[in-house]
Amino acid sequence: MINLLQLKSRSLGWLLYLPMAIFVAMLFFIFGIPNNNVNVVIVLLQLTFIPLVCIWTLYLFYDLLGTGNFQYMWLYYKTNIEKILIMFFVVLFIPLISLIIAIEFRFDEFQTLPILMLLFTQCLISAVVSLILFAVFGDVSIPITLIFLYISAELATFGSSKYLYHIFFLNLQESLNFTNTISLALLNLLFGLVGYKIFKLLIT
Amino acid sequence: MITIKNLSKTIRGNKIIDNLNLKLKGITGIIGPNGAGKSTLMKIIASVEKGDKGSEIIFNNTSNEPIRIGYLPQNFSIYPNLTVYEVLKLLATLKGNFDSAHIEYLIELFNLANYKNKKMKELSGGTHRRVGIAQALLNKPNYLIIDEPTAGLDIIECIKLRNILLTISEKVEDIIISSHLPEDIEYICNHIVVIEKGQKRFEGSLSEMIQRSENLSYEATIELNDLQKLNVIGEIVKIDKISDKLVKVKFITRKPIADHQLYKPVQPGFLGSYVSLLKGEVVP
Repeated sequence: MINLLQLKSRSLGWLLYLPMAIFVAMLFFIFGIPNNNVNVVIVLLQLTFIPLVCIWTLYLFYDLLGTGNFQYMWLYYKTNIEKILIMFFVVLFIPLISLIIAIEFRFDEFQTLPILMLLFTQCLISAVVSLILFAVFGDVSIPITLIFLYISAELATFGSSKYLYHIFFLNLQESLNFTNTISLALLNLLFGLVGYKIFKLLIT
Repeated sequence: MITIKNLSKTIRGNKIIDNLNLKLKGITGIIGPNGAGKSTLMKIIASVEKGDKGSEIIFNNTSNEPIRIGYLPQNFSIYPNLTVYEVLKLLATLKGNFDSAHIEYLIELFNLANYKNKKMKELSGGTHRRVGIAQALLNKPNYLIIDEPTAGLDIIECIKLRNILLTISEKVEDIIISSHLPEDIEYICNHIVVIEKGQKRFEGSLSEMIQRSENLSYEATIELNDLQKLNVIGEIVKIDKISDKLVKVKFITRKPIADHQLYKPVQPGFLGSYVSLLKGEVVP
């Protein structure tokens, strides 16, 4: 399976190097800026990694959903789509967990578990929504555009628009703990799992 | 042998395949004009698509080995940024049967050693198609289904690919090839199926096919200006230019020919038989 991810990541081209660049930039942001606010770091972490998850997931299944060879490629994918997604999440969480350890090391008032839980569910829902959009439209540019529109809208209104579902924790005042993240994480998880079922229904 | 019983396929109300009953054996060539339903039939045999209710596909496997199907679709264009070796490795891993020795064997068999480390986007159409057939053999199939093997290839590449298909025919139980090019079928196949508008026009050997249209093929030497008149009588299948004004024409017609001095009966050949079948009646 590692072989498979290695080869699939080769087909990602320049996108493969983006998480590395983000990782280095985030490390600089965590350690390089004095008097930094932990909430700003968390917001930035979400706003960089979540779109990346979307794009990576889209390109991970580009051969299946975006090349017009769906029926044929499905012969190859039907037994291992979950395995690929799980492996992808494991690989993705290595830099994410490293950054969270770095944040914990840098900021005293930081709690690791709530942010891990939140990030995991955010990755899940964003990956699943990307896949649904890709399966529906069959053109990778449409989900990418919609995802960036959503993130721009969330950022512009800072998570206060009543017309949008908010997957992000965009709060610079309150500290991030179990109490104020659990409902968001649970909702993200629920929608993520339901979304995955919908995605499977769409492609089978 | 693959037995197809009562196969129909309806897509959005259109009957793409209409009650097909076939017995495919050896190297079977499925030929028909564009839109005949060949690719749909190939997809159904390859289990990529399902037929309508009541349709049956039976693989009469003579060996004790499990049924493994290798399939090359008409449009095989994936992983432009991966090398030939990487594509084969990736697809084998996805199928769960990665065997580097087998991949090396396929690279050798399809004469791909010089292209092993070249990206897919850098390959010519013929090499691309060879990689496509190699990937269909990754799971060591006993049934090989190839949709339009020579689509978009030049004549030299077509000949190379036909030779490769003949070579691999010994390694699999049955090969099913679809094509709209009569040359592909005539050169490679020992069992022929002609379909048009989703219906069977003919099934049998090449000699049986030629026999069926034996009295329908004629040859004539006429003036170039008279070509249009001949089109009214029948279907022209071959034109050889004799001089600036004169041409030798081979044509197929079901109309009675009176002037046998001008129109000489000849052997129809595969192309002639094929054309006459398309103009003929539906075989139940």
